[in-house]
Amino acid sequence: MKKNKTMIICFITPAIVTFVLMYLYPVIRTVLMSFFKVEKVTAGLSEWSFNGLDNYISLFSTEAFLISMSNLLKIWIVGGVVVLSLSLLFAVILTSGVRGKNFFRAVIYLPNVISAVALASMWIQFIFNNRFGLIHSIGESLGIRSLERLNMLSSDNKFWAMLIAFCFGAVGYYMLIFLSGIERIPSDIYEAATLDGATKPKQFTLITLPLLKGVFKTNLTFWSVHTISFYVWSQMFSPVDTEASTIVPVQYMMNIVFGSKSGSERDAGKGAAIGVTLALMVVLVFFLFNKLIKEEEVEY
Amino acid sequence: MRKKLLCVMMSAAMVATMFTGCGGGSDANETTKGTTEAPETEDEKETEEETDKETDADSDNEDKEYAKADGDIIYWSMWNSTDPQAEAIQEAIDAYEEASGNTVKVEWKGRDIQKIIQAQLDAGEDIDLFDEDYYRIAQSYADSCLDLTDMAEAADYESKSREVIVDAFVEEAGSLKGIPYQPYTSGIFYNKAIFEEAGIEEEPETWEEFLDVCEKIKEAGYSPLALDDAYVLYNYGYHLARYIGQDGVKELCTEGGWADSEEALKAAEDMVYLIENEYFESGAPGIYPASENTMGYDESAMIVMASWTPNEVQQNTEAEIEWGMFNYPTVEGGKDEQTVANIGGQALAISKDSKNAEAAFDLIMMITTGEYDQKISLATNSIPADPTNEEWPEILPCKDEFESLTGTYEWNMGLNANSDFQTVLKDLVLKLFEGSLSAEEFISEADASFSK
Repeated sequence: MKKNKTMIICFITPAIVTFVLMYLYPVIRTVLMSFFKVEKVTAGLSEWSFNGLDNYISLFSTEAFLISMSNLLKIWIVGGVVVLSLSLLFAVILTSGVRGKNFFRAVIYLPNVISAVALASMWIQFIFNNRFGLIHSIGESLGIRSLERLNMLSSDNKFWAMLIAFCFGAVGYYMLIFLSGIERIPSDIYEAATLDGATKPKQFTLITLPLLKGVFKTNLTFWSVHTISFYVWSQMFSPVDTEASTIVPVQYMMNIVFGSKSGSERDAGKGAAIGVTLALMVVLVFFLFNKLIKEEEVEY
Repeated sequence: MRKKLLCVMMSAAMVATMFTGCGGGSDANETTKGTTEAPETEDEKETEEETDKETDADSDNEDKEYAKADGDIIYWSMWNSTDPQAEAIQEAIDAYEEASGNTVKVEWKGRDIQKIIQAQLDAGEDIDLFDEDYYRIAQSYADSCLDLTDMAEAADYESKSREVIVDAFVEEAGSLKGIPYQPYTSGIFYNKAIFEEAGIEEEPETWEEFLDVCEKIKEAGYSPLALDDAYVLYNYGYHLARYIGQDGVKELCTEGGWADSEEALKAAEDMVYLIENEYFESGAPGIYPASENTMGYDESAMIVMASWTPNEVQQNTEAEIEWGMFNYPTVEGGKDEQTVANIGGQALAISKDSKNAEAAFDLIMMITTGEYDQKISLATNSIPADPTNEEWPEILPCKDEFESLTGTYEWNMGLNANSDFQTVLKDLVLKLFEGSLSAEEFISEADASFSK
């Protein structure tokens, strides 16, 4: 027993030391910083001046930040419904015995291995470009004038253009998680159901879906973390100055912590407040999903 | 006992791998060090030595005494090692190393240097010099940079620099906290062939003359103007600043009062006039760089932009355009003259904790003045920072305009003064240029957004 304790200490100490130094310290510093007026992220404690909840109050009364939160909410809800539905659909199709499963799985996953910068450039230049993009060309060849002239990158459409491009790249990842969840369900359950006369849709709603509850929870949590850190796509769709139509909280945070194109004023304290707000949102979402989605006793 | 030993070894291995995983950050960056450059063949060396001897003979720096560095001079660069700027700078570094006997270690950080440089300077990272955007050094990093006034005076920097760009930098930074290089100017760049075809002989100086030019170009069958979404604030900002000056624009963005500003409304109406008369090409505002590329396709004649545009259009479309340029026209009753323009560029700065400040300054002078400044200018189609370098890249038609400037604007002419408001304003200006907001609606929405 004594030996085991030594062993436990030996193995745990490095992890704890690293955790405290590399993770806990920055977290505590960020939380503290969010209650202070701090200009530079690296400013020493002597340069901090306490201002209570002012950073939070000022954030939630700033239109640009509120717009960024509303954009994030739209990405989370609309993008979440689209991405998770499509990935579930693809996962179900691929596990239904379709031919070339491995090929399709690789193709759908492929956008995940391409950098977001390259993907965004591809969408902007080759699909949405209203001079020689795919949408323009389709409109032109079919003689549909409205499609030919459709400007997906106008201020009204830009957000949706960005969301479509982002969802395209995200489906594969969630599909793989659903796929592994479905594959773990024993096939004899489906065989028994088929013998009892259950149709495929019935099998999906009454067997597959209930047994995927845990996987759903995982995917929803991953999706939340994924969208809360949304940044590169906004940057690609508004390359020089940030725009209200595409701004998200992390982009806003980067601007106020590191300064934007014109070297405008910096406020690391407010940036820290955004970081804390986003972290709390992840915790809240995780807590809610844990409460709302009760895992089944039977799980494969 | 053996088990205990095994335990200790395993935990040691675990710690070692953890720290190996954490470390090595600098290895991931591209690093070049003068003395560890790829070996050259003897022939190459000989040829280079001969060329160096020839150029040295002509150089003013022939008898210059260089400060000795204590160890390597460490330079964090905003370029990637494959950028043309990096190649030209590397040449200057090689020449400096040979002349001074010092060695320079370069970390080619690329544009992401913006996100790390402040933290690294504050953390006391061993950085002697670095480069970044001119305005960001002046406004954000100045406190971490050394005042170079005395060294500049001793090196007679005044005679090798452009007053207008150094003054603008010093005004922002408080003192000479960096040495600007690769400067840009801005105004209206145009296709000379289209101007000739449309029978335009004089470059416009006032807004009325400019509108005449637009009409003639339209009659000749071309779109007068190109405009990308990334630069709508820049276009509106230029026009508004002509009416009320940059300080006036800044005041509107920080104090408000849009609804009461006749000039803000007039500037918006002028922009709407351009739209209503179809002076912008049909895809404008296009997603950058779609609209500016239409100049390369010989469809549009002019663009309000900075001096990197001709090079960009040429790179994107491979078009061989003969470029012309004039400063942004004046407006009736406006505050600013035609000789006020947005300028900027990059700057090299020395960390205030550098122990090799003098040696680093010598290196900066090598890069930003004389022969190597000329090389950077020609390699990147940019303006030479040293006015004694008379040769401008062929593609840049703005020498006289740049040298006649009497005042300067920041990027977006003051519209960036309030970053929170700017984000909202950008969308409103975009809608104004898309034609979905009238001038009055634009002003009332801007006023409402500011009041929020």
